[in-house]
Amino acid sequence: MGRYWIIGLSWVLAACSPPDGSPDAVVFHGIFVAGEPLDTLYWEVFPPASAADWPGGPVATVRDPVLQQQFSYENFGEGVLLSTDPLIPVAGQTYSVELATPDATLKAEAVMPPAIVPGLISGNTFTVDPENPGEVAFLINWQVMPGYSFLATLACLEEKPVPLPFEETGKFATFYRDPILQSFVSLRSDFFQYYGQHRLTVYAIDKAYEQVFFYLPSGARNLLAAGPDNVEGGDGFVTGVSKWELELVLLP
Amino acid sequence: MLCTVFCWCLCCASACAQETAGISFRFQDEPLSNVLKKWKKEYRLRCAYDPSLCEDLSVTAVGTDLSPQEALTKVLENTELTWKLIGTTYAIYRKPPADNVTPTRAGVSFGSRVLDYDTREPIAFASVRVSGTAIGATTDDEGRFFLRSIPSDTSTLIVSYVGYQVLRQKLTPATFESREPLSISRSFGLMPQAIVYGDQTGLIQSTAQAGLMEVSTLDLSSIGSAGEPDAMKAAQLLPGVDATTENSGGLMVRGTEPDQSRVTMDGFTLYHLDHFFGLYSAFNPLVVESVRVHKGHAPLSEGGFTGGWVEMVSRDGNRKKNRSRIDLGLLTVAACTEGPIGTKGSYFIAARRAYTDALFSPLFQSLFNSLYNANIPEVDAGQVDVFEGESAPNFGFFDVNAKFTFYPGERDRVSLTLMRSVDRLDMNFIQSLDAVSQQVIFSDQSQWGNTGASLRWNHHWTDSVHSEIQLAGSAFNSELFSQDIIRDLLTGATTSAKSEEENLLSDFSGKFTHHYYIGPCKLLSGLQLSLYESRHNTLAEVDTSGAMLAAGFTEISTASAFGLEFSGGLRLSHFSKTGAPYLDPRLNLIQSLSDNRLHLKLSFNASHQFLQRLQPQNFALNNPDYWQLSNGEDLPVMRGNLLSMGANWSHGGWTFDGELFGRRTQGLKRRFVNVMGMGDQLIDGTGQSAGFDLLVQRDLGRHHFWLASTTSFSFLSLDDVARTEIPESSGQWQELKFIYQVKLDRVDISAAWFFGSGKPFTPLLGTYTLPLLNGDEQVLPVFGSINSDRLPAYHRLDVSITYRFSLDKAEGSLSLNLFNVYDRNNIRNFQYFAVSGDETSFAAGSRAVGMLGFAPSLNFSISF
Repeated sequence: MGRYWIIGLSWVLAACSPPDGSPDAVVFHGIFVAGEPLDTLYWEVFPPASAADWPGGPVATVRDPVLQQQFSYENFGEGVLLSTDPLIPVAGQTYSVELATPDATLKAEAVMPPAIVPGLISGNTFTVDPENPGEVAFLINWQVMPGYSFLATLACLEEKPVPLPFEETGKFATFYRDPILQSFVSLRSDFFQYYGQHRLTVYAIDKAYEQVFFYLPSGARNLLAAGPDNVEGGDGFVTGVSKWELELVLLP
Repeated sequence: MLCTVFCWCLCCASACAQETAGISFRFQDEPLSNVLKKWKKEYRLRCAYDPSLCEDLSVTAVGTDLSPQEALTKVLENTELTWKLIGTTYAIYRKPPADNVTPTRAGVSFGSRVLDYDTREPIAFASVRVSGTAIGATTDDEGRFFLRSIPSDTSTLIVSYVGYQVLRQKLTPATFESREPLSISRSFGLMPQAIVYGDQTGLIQSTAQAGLMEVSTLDLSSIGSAGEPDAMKAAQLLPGVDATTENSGGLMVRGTEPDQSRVTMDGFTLYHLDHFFGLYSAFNPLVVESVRVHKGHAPLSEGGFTGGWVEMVSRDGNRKKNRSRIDLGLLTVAACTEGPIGTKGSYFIAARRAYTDALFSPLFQSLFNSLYNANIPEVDAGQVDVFEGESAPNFGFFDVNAKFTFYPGERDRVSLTLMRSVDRLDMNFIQSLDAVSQQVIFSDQSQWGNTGASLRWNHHWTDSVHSEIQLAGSAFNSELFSQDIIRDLLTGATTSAKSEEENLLSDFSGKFTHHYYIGPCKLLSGLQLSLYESRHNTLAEVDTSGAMLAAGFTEISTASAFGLEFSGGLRLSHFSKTGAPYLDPRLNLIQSLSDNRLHLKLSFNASHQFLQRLQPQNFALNNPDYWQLSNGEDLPVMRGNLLSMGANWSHGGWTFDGELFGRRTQGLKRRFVNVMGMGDQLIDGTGQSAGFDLLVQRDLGRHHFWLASTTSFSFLSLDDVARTEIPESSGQWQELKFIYQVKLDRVDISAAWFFGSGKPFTPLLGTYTLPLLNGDEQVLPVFGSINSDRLPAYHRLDVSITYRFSLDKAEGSLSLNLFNVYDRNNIRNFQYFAVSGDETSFAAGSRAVGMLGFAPSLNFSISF
């Protein structure tokens, strides 16, 4: 009886060792902008120490549904995948992306919104009144795109920009830093910082990408909330945007 | 301090216990009962006997300086009585019939009842077997049994029930005429007309049936517990039942969640099983008479759940005399009174109340703080003392139970059981979150509880045919209000979040069951009709639904001459919300070998469940139990299949019970936090688990030892997530329980060591930065795969010492429970939070949420 008892006890104690479970995750992200060469995608592995033990890193493949071609993105640096023959995404298309790792294949889709169709534009040139910083300089709208939000950015193209004479300028970021629902922008003089040529870029973005802008890390009772994630088999975020660019000039 | 008090009491009480001096006497026609009373008074000779046996018996004898054994032998030598020493008590009983009684009949049937000798209460779930055969039966709620094909009318019956002395009762032709109930006794009782088998069963007992085990409610005080020892905690000592949650709020049986297991008392279902967020069971330990745990193979008459079934029978009440009992613990006071109602009935009334709303004892503060900190995230990973503020939490609970039993005729029994339990919490706590320059005022005003009732009527048409009608109803309701006011210390701005919630789940059912025999087969058939209502009202939604469940069931069982027992049957249900029929088959085989020492067992059953609890109880986060009825669409009907096979071997005080099991449950709805990209989500899935339960038990008279081990794996296939197979949140690769009990004359000592390998959790691996088109960057957390990491192993040691004493006609006990003796810091889970930065840039912090540390408690009990 004692022998059986010892054998049984040994088996029970030996079974106390839990099976191995090594948590890890691969993060993969990239933004497809219609009309712009997609030459860079990003990856990251967790825990970070594992990256050093992973020579060569992963390889990503993007499939073009129209050209029926595959574009290969290889790992030329830590966390960066580059392509010498990059894809140029087209508005309205859907691109499938795969990231092959030694352990798994991550999949994602970049759904490109339709192209933005310009609407009414009040003009491309505006003469600044130094006494009236709140004067509306440009009214620009485009066709409504149900299901999409918009992000607007404003860049000065002047090599040697001359500041506007207002006490406060550059208020564009205050009003248009986050995505907007409406299909128009109204630009006042003090939204700009400088005289000269500017480029207004409007991106059409889907609701998933909009959530990235509005993500709040603290959820209920301060607990950390999960972020947006649309990569199957891993973590990360892949999306497509279409864009429309318009050049605007502010004159003294 | 507690130890000092306990030792002092122990010493005082021990001083009162004196050794019996030599007995001298001279009696001339002295009534025997007077003799025994006199010796009890003069020599402290403890005797247990049936007064009716001593009627008309007188003693004429002389003795000088005799030992108690010699004295008893002397006074009983010319009577039909004899004695046996059991513990420190001399049991006096009628001499058993001689072995040479000649049998007069063969292949006979015999029906009777099994009663507690002291109280005459029926013993439910007792095992009655014919010695040397595979013929046996289990007593019903009334303690009744019926045996067929007994080899002869002088066969011997073996009656056993967990916590009681095993009784070997030799039948005689006269026994068949009288059909006198069989009485079994606890350690201080006596065995009239019987031979004491010698062993007393321990706290738990395995059975020949797959997945079925019995738990004693007699020695609950010897279970180590942070709150109060109770039947649910005792059930957690079984193999296959998770004991590492430190919670009485439900049973996790063989990889299932608590809402998959049904817990009933006298026929009604309880949906909320605890007080004080799991530290106390909703069942007052004074009330529970018998407990059986079905680890998945519930009888067909009890469908509706896919996990286990904990079957509790409450006490009928003493039919001999009025008795009362008072239990005083460090947090609660409980009392019960019981007694006969005339000659045809009995009553039992009990109440329990926590005085935590009036007295903030150190133990209460420690327990409450531990629970609060386990659920409220702390940015700086510190521990909050909620009693430090101006307004200490006002928390309390109570429960009341009553049972009335009537025997209007020889063959009828009517019982009415009533129960009500309530928890109340009212707290306001101000917390400063320095890391984020905020002050948070938590308010939580909640009340929740159960109401249950059942009315049962049993009628025995003959010894072998009986029917039962049962009306039962149960309701769980909770009313919750919580509010967080967050004040920014820099700007003075305040925001508030308010939550109001009302939950209700009620059922009312009527059931008719009929038991009868056709030839060698025992048949059970019946009908059940249940009405359900669920309500979930919040500020945002009102969700009320009702449903009707109609079911019919039939089951046949028979035993062959080769020791093979078979039972099988079907249950057909119709659920009105889905409009579909559901078929639950059940099969059970037992093969007895080696003179009934070895039983091979095999069981299979399928079952459906029509309601699920969608949110676990979560203290102070204001989302306790939320039950919802299945609708076949977003909340599917759950279907579980369970196959078990194993062996039970019992001999010479050793018991080995091993079972392999495999389970598959479809239609699960599980809540996960931080599922990839989906936040807090309810996800459909299919659960699968397999494993091996092992029970090794050794009963050595005063010493009881057992080892319960479960080796299992369980995983969940999620329907909506790409990584489809994940470990179950409750899954443990290994769980071990070593329990040792020793029963000395007045002192019981027990020690229990629990080990559980780590449970799965979802880890936070880090953060990554996502560049945005507007030039900003967004930092996002990276969580590992769901349940991809394991918590550290769980282990703890509990020690309990109980001292029993007598004061005139009163009996009492003093128990010292030491929970988690070596103060192991077991981890319940990890919490993650953003500790600094703004909306787009933050650092993530984590906190290990600990379980309860060392917690001593003292309980005093006296019955009179």
